[in-house]
Parts: sequence; structure tokens; C-alpha cells
Amino acid sequence: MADVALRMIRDARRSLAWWTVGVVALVWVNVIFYPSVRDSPEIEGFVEDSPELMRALLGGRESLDILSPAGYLDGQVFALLVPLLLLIFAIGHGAGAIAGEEERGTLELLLANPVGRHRLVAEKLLGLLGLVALFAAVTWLSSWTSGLAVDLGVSAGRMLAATLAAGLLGGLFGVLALLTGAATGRRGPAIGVPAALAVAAYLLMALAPLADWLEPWRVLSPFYYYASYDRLVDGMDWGAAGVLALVTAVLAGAAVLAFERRDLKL
Amino acid sequence: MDAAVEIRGLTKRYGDIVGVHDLTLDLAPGEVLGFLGPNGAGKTTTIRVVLDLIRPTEGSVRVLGLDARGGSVAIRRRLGYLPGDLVLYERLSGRELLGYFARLRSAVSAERIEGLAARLELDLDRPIRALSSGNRQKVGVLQAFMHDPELLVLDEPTSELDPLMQSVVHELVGEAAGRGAAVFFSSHQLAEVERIADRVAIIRRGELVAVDTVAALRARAPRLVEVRFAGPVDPAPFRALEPVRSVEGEGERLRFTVHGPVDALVKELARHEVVELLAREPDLEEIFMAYYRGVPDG
Repeated sequence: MADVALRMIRDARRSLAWWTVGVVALVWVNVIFYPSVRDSPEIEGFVEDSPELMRALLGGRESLDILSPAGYLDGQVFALLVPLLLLIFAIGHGAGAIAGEEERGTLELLLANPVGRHRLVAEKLLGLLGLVALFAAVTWLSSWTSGLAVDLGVSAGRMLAATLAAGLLGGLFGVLALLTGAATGRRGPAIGVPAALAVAAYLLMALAPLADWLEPWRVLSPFYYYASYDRLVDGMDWGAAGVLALVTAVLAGAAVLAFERRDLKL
Repeated sequence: MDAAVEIRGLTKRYGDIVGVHDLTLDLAPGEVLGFLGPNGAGKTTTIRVVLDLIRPTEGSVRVLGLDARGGSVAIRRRLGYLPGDLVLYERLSGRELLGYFARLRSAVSAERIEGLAARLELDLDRPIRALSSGNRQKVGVLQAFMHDPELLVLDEPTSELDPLMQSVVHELVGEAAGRGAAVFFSSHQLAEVERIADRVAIIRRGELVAVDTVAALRARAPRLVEVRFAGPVDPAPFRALEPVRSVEGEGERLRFTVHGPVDALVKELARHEVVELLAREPDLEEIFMAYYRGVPDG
């Protein structure tokens, strides 16, 4: 059982290794500068003086104190860097799962085996979520260990809550990529559609506080349910996590149905 | 016993393009069917419908007694498939790829894989990206045969293989048919089809133009008769004969294409002094070309 999912994870081990190197390096480099940034007097003034739009785009909000441990960790790591890396990773592997195999042509031989199309999509989803979980685990471990190194003072549990939320966000867009690939059989749209929607969703979330008419639409952005600063301060928000998980489940179901109905593009 | 493959009125359209039109074809257990036609004639389309990789626009396809779509997983458990455009996982070795597929099938012994690899002279430890096209094809052949399927669907299995390995594949096909498996075999090489197929199906522009044994097709096909006379002979009276379709050559050498009984031709020839007479049956290639130039009646 789950041979297709395991194969997918094993085939991604080289990609995962390189991403791990990147994530560990980026997280550590950002976190270990915390003591020197905190103790430097010019920074606060710089933040006060920077335009509202820029602060919004960098994930800032009114109440955020970027010199607090949680504020710094969020601003430097979780607000943008972690979701960006996770999304690129998840969308790439989501698009490769079905559309990638279909475009290369290996899917024809794989489907000569007694693997139903439902099962194929389900296993590819499982493999994708496994890869995202591994990536999130690496992110969490690098935040935790780098935090310990500089005595950051954000608990491992709070970091876990933020990482879980990031994993759910990445999983959602990765599954959207898999769905687009399952429906079209083409890798281009399977990357382009979720990437474009992710950018739009990020902008909606970031710019909503600046425009009254945009404010009510914020709830449509998956990033609204990410809220990494709140996770780092308050811990897990099961309601928000539930929303992301539910949307992901709906997209996964759509992927199963979309792939069942069509001719393979061979 | 159920037919191995039962295709009824299969039509497959891609938008306005017709891939296959109203195709009806049966394949019995233990039978080897050669499927002939040039690229784009609809061979691969037909095969992919049998595999449920694509779905019919019209018509029904039953495989091993099951609906091609509804029973697809059960069918594929009992079916071995070699695609015409074989694409393998480049990063795996032959052993890893076959191990992966063997786990998906859960009824393949490692000894069977090793035994087939030895017969095909295939090194299973090399990564597939380092294999020649012939060796890749052997990996494809191996995965199609390794679980001793009841139905083999082989799309150009011997392309890329040297003559020695072609004969190994022919042996494997013969052994499979010998234990009751049905074999659906497409090929460009008519000599090979003639050697191993019980029946031949010829497909042209999406339509089946002939299905029969090679012997029956040959019996229906025109005869070639070559004659050398003692002196020049006027070809005109021969052209007037009903079964003679064409007369070529001039002077003392004439070549006739005869459709049906040769009696009238023999009687006419007897009016001249005949030095040499050569009559032969057409080979499959000539039959095939005849169907491609225009369907022969008779």
C-alpha cells in the first residue's frame, strides 16, 4: 500500500535535501542577528519612519512591535520567507505529481499497473502532504534551534503553531497545483494558476487594512487564516487551521474527480 | 470462455479529428492478433481505449469479460502493456523500476524478473538514463511479461531490438499464447507479424479494412504470375480476361496479377509456347500494400 506516495517522496529526496540546506541557512542567518538588531537604536526609528504601504507588504500590522522576539521572528522569518519557500516547494511538487508525469510520459506506464485513478490521485496527494510536512518540520527545527542559540524567548510550541499554519497554507496551494495538473495534464497551468492566486491572495491580505472597501474581502484570502504573528504570540488557532484544512480537502476531492473523468494527454 | 478483448462499434473523436471509426474486433484467449497500420491509422488509439487511458466517444469495449472502464483495475491486474512511446523513470535502475511495479502488482516473484532479465540479456543495475534505446525497450518488455498476464497488449514491442532479441520476444509471445494468454500485437514489421500472428487486423485511417488469418488473406489476395514465352506475345488478349487485373512487361516476358481462378489465364497461355512459368502467393507486405492502395474485392 501507498507505494506511489512513497515513490514520490523518495524521488523528491534530492530536492528536499537542497531545500533543507536553503531553509536552515535562511532561518539561522535571520534569527542569529536578533540580539544585534534589538540592541541597535536606529532600527526603531527606521520602522517608525517607513511608509505604511511598505510595512503592510512586509507583513507588518499596526500593533506589531518588530523588536519583540515574536515580532522579530515573524517579520524576518514567518511573515514572508517561510510561506514563500513553502509555497514554491509545494506548488512545484504538486504540479509535478500528475501533470509532470503526464507531460514526461511516465504516467502511461504507471497506469498500466492495477492502480485506479482515484487511488493514484489519493496517493499523490498523500505524498505531496508528506513532503510539505517534512519541509515544515525542517522549518520548525531550524527556528527552534536558532532561537535557542540566541536565547530568543519564543517557545517551541508557539513556533510549532506558526509552522503548522504555514504548512497548511503551503499544502493548500500545493493541492491546488495538483488539482490544476489533474484537470489539465499540463505543468504550465499547474504552476501558474496557484502561483498567481497565491500572489493575489497575499496582496489582498496585506493591502486590505489600507482600503476600507477591500477589508471585508480579506476573509477570502488563505493568508488571512495564516496570521503567523498571532500564532507566535497566542499559539494554535484551531478554527483558522480548520478553515485551511477544509478548503484543502475540497480541492483534493476536486482533484480526484477531475482526473477520473478525462482522457490522458499522451 | 470470455473473449479476451471484445470491441464493438468503437469510435473515438478528438474534436473534429476521428481517431478510430466504428471499429469492431475480437480477440480470443490463446490467440495472437497482429495489428497492422501506419502511424496515425488508429492502432495506438484503440490500444489506449483498451487500457482505459482514454475513453470511447461511442461503442463498447470489454476486456477479459469486464467493462474496460468500470473493470479497469481488475483488468490491468491481468494485463501486460508495452506502450508504443515507452517512457521510463530515468533516475531509477531497471531493478528499482521493476521492483516498484512488482509491488503495485503484488504477484511478481524476484526470480521471475531475474529469469526474464537473463533471457533478454538486460543489466538491471544500470540506471535507466544510461541505457540504450534497445535496453530500455527490454525493460518495457520485461514489465509487460513479468506477472504472466492473461492478456498482452504490445505496441511495437520489437522496434529498437536487434534480430536476436526480437526472436526472444517472439518466443515469449509464443510461450504466453501457449499457456492460453491472448496477445494483441502491433507492428510495422510485416514479416514478424506473418511469423507469429494467428490473425491479422489491418487498420486504415481509423477503420478496420481486413481481419483474417494470414492464409485467408493470402487466398483472397491477387496472385502474381510471371511468364517467359519462346517469342514475343501480344498482351492484348490477356487483358481482356476477366480475372486478370493487370499485365506488365512486353515481348517474351509478361507479368500478370490474377484475382480468383487462374483457369482462363492458363488456357490462354496454352495457345503459346511457354518457356518458364512462375506463380507465387503474395507475402503479407504485398497484401498490406494492396489494402492500402485500395480495398481489394473478392
